[in-house]
Amino acid sequence: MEERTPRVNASLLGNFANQTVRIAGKVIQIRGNTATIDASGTVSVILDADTNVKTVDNVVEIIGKVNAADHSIKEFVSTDFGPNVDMVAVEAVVQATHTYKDIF
Amino acid sequence: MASQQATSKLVPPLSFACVEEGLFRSAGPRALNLPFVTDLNLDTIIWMAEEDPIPEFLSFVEEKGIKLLRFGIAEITTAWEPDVERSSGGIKREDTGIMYHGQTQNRWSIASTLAEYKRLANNRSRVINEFHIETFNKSSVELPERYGGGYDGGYQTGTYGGGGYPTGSQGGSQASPGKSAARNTLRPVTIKQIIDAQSPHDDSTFIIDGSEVGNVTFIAQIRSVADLETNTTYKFEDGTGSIEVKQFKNNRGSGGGDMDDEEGGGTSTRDEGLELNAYARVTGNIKQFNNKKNIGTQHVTLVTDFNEIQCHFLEATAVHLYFTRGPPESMQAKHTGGGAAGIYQQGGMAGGDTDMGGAGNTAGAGASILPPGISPAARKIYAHLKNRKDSSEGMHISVIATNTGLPVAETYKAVDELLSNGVCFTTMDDEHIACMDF
Repeated sequence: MEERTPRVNASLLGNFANQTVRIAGKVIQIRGNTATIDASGTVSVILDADTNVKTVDNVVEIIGKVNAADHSIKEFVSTDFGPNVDMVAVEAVVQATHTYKDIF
Repeated sequence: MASQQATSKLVPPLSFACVEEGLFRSAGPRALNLPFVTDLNLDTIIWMAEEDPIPEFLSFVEEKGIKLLRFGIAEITTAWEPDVERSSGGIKREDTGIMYHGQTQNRWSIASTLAEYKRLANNRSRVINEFHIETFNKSSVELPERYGGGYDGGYQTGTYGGGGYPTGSQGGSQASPGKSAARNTLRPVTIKQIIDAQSPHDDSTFIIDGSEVGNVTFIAQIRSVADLETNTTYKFEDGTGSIEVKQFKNNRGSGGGDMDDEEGGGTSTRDEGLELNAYARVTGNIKQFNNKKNIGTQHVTLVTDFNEIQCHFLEATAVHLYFTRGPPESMQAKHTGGGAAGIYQQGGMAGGDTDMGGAGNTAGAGASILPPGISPAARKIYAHLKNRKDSSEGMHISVIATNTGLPVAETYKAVDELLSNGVCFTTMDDEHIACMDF
């Protein structure tokens, strides 16, 4: 019930090892069941069978678990945000999430 | 008779107020009040009191051709302590008015009608009255097409300051102005804020960041959805928490606007595309049941531009900071006359903090010297005092209250806050306040 999925970027992944996070980034490449996204730094994602990460250059949001060893993400569920998403705003939300913990 | 003379003046009945445009409530009118009631140009009157209307009133109704519908509470109950009953008479009429309006118009749900009743009845609310509201047969009241042409704006504002509810009916003590005003606000929030919201008085008013909330809006993902007979129940999750949302069938097509191209097959309240894991915007009221909060709404709309998600969270942050730290510095500078703003504007203040005035204030030398955590009311008073350069002997609290439009009780509280923070001081007596940098 009280499950929180903090919004993070590539550089914050280290703080959330083995936790479930939300990360939004632009898809750089998709190869088999792994994808690389740019979320203020590159992150590799191990895709789920039902993934919505299908289009390179689109922005996607992935909810998944952070692997402690290599900071890759095991996808649980994803949303395709399409190509026209302002990554500056996405990064601003990540910063706000970790600055104002009262509301996030 | 003395009252004969007074009838030339317009005297509203006890507890008179405008519930909505064209809908009024009051205690049973006396002969003295009839000219006033005439001016309202009423079409229908719903009589809720147990006792009969006075004969003058009945003949007045007949003469004007007003429809009088009687739904005495005595129909369903017999035992009343007489004095309490009398004093709450106006309130009963009020809640019926709302119910009448609500159920007929389908714009008020029964839950919010009861909440409204409780709010107005203050500590005199009674279960029996709630039963009465619930069992009310709405088909017994016909509403005119364009109801109540007689809403006389000028008179209304003249007598009641445009406020709607006379303070007397609310007990007048705590948070009286915010109460009615706050209900009509819309606050962008995160689900965590909803879960953390406090309800100090009862289960119908909620406080987030120290201010009462009316409607809330948030964006989240659908984690489960069930189409039930009367509503669609969702579980929404936005990364900060999850909450149950009940979307009731109502008024489809008129308010929903852009998403309502298809009627969703008639059996579902749900708009097309509101499926599992979809992002949607919810606008509704916080409800609480058995200490578990949920959201009652008629508006759940699919998010189609995903920038809206980011926009919402940043907006929620900005609003949160506004309530907890006061307005942004740029806005504060305007309020305080901008005197010190230029001098103290420091270069190195970081990120979003600067925008919200937080960093500037904690540095001790922002555009104003107010510390963080000062309530909006206190800020308003401080700005007001600061703008008055002409007086060094301070201003009386009641004058401050009048000028700032704050209620006196709240003004006292805010002034105390300013005094204890050392930004204001008392002058010739305890009730005259001036601010520090005169």
